[in-house]
Amino acid sequence: MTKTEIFLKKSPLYPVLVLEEYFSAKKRRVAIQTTKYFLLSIPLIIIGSIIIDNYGSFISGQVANLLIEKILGLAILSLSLYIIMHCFEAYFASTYYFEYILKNRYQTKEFYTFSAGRILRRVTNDNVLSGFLQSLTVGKKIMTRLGISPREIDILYMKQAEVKNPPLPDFSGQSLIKVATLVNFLYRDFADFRKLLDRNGVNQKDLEATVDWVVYQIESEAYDRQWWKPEKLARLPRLATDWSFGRTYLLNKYSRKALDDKEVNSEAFTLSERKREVEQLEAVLAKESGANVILAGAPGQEKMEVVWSLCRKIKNKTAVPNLIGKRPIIFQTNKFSSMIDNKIDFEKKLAKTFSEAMNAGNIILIIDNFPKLILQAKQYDLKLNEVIEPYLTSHEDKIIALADLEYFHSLIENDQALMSYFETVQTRPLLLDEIVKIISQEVLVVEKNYELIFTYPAILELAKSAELYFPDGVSSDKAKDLLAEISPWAISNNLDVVGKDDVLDYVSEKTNIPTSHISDDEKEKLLNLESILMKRVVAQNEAVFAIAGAIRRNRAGIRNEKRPLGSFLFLGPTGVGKTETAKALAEVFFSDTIAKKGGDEELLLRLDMSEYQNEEALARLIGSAELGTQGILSTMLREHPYGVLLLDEFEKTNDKVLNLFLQIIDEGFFSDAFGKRVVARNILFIATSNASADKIFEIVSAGKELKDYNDEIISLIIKKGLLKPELINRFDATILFHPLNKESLNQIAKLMLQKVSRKLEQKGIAMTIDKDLLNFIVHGGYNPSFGARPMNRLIQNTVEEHLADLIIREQLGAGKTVSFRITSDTPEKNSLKPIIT
Amino acid sequence: MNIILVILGYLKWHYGKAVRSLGSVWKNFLYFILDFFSIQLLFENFFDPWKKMTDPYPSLIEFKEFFYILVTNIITRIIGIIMRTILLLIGLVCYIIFAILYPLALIIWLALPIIITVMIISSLYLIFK
Repeated sequence: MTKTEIFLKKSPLYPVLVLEEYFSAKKRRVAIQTTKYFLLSIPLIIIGSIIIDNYGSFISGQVANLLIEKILGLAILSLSLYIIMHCFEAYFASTYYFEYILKNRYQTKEFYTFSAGRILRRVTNDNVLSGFLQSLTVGKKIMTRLGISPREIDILYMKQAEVKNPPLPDFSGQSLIKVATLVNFLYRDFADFRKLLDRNGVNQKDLEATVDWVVYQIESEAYDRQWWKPEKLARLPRLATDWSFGRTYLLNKYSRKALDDKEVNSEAFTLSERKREVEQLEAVLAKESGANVILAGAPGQEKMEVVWSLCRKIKNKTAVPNLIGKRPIIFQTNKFSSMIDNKIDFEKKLAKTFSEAMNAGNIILIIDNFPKLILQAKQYDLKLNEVIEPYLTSHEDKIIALADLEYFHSLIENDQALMSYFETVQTRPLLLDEIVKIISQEVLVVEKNYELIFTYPAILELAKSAELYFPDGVSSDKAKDLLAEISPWAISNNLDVVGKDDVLDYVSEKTNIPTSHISDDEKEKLLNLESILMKRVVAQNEAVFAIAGAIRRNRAGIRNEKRPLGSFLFLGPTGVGKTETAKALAEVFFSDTIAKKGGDEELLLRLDMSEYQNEEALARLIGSAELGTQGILSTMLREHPYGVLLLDEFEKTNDKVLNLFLQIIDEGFFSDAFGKRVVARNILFIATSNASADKIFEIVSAGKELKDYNDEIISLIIKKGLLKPELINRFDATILFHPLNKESLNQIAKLMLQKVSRKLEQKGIAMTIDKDLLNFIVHGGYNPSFGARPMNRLIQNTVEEHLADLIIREQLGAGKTVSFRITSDTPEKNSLKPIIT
Repeated sequence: MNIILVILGYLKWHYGKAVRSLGSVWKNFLYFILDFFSIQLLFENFFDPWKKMTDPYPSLIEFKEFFYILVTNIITRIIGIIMRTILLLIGLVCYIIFAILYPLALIIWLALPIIITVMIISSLYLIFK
């Protein structure tokens, strides 16, 4: 006997594990069904045979008696089998004490939990890994949920046969062996197992979460069948509960019973994550009078989740005693509003509805979309609190008013009269781990409907992607929506198992943001990003290298996903390529993405920060709740959730705005004036500034290397009080741009002229760019304090003007070549003369 | 060998833990019956008017009106009392029946291994005689 067997046999659970080998859960269920159907058909057979016996003369009495005896024999046999199967079922059920759902019911003498026992029972040669991989009900399920392919599982299993002395678990210090205990042991002591998981991108945290999830799933299925548990019986309806309470004719017209919502009854919505908010709600509602609460939260399901959790507690009779037996009714404001069209109606019907609710005596009135009611009252020149005041102060009232945060701040919070009747409970956005938990429960429902399997990494990615790639709305809602959308997509793509890459593919398809696989084209671009950028940005290699690195880090998936794509502070004189770098980058990196979306989007988002200097600057950027205006920055980022945002003359804006950007760069999001989250995690921020340009000139003209003076220039900016050190430190990199030397200017002039030439080419006209032309542009257009910018103007005023003139006069057309000759009218002033050949 | 182990394991459970569980499940059911028929609520609100159907009284000067409302209010209370009494009786009868059934069920449970054995043998006899 192996050590594992000796260990297994010590527990009273052992006979059940053996029994399971003969009668697996599936076989037991089939047997129960079959015997049940047979038993049900027996009365029919008996009735049939009686009829035959009485009226039919074709069967002799003796044969009929024999037949009845046999049928009776079969009936008794199947009845006994039926009872035996149910006894077995009860035997099994009483061994599930649940290591996850209901904890700590196991006794020390049992040594292991039932699920752990199922793994250990499959162990051969004391190799726990082999048992884990062979156990269909637990181990294999966990591996599938981790996204490991059956082939890889098989290979790992075959390998175990060659292992001579497998590591033995030391359970001596453990009071109870759970699945998690076994899996942690496997992860620690079986290098092959660990390597396989590593190869599939699964870390220990993911592994532990998957184990919890699978065990939860196994146990919740068993728990669902245990209808005799007191908490299950408590959920059944009761008689006569409304005999002592008033009727609500009008209220019924505008409302629905919250306890009937599927979310209250479904096992999939346990929502322990909302515990804090529910307890706060209960505390207010349990009060004898003035039990009114405004539940404020982000738009979407968040607030209803709290309400459902409360309803669930009421239904399960686990709420505070004052609330048990209460009837939560959802007043549907939208329905009410649509049925009311004048002031008198509004006043009368609303008052009557509330009076019914209060007189009934057992109602918790949940007002959906409370702000709408306030607004409608306003529309009729009424104050809502005055209409419903008598009911707000009554002893019977229990009201939960739901309000979106946006309206809560703009409409309700400042209304002292209204606020005096209500206490406030605010929902908090869920953390990623909590969203994953909710989604992993919802997945079980979706899987049944679509016959799909989601892996744990897929769920993790789903929750992450909802946050990262869909900037609008509440993360938990977005993740649920994404789950609902991805299932039909998976079916149409013939997927059985939805893995992490499938989720990324779907997100990429939906948003056009490159997420998962890096295409060959893109690979090429990423690897040669420096040279692509350098073609456009002249003589600013340091800047180009820093940005290219950041972009590659992001696409390789090692960026910090809680921060923007990248953030850079460009310092340098005007006209040396700061803006051009940002433009080049936007074009190189985002042009494909934008082309896929129809190509009508701005490649480069831009804010001139010198326009945001006064006191109202912040309100203009993030909106104003008092004025009801949307912010420029929040609108811009909602409409363009990804791309390059250029913040020109960054240092010129005021401190409040700088603090806003400090938060954005640090956390990748901000809240607008209405309390709505705006996410900026797919944005590359480039802030430019020509602060301390003089110093840069000074250093460069002294022939010194600029990069040696990086710290000095930054300290100078801090000393002058232009930017705070904590803000500068938040940027991924501060990059110094050199003033341009003659050679660089020559290159830039060439690039500018080539741009003109390319435009002409489309018309079939060729343009010769020679040394003289370049010299003319560089000499005439260079101004040390404006960099290359004046050259652009010079080209417009001379070259382009001449060309336009010639084209309009029809002297220049397809097939011709144009070149320019320099003529000197006066010794100081040269001019251009076009020559057409 | 394993079969014997399973049978012994099962019997140990059948006469040990299962008997205890049967008791607690029974308690659950009895509690459920009280709850299902809202017995406590019915006692608490025994004299309340039926579905709160009462009208407010006018001043005593309008004697006729006052008297009329008094009568209707008494009627709704009487309806409430009658309905509650009926439901209370049904509920209590169910409770008593269930309570009495417990010893019976316990006896059947304890004898179940023997009953099943007898049933199987007799059925086989009927089929193959």
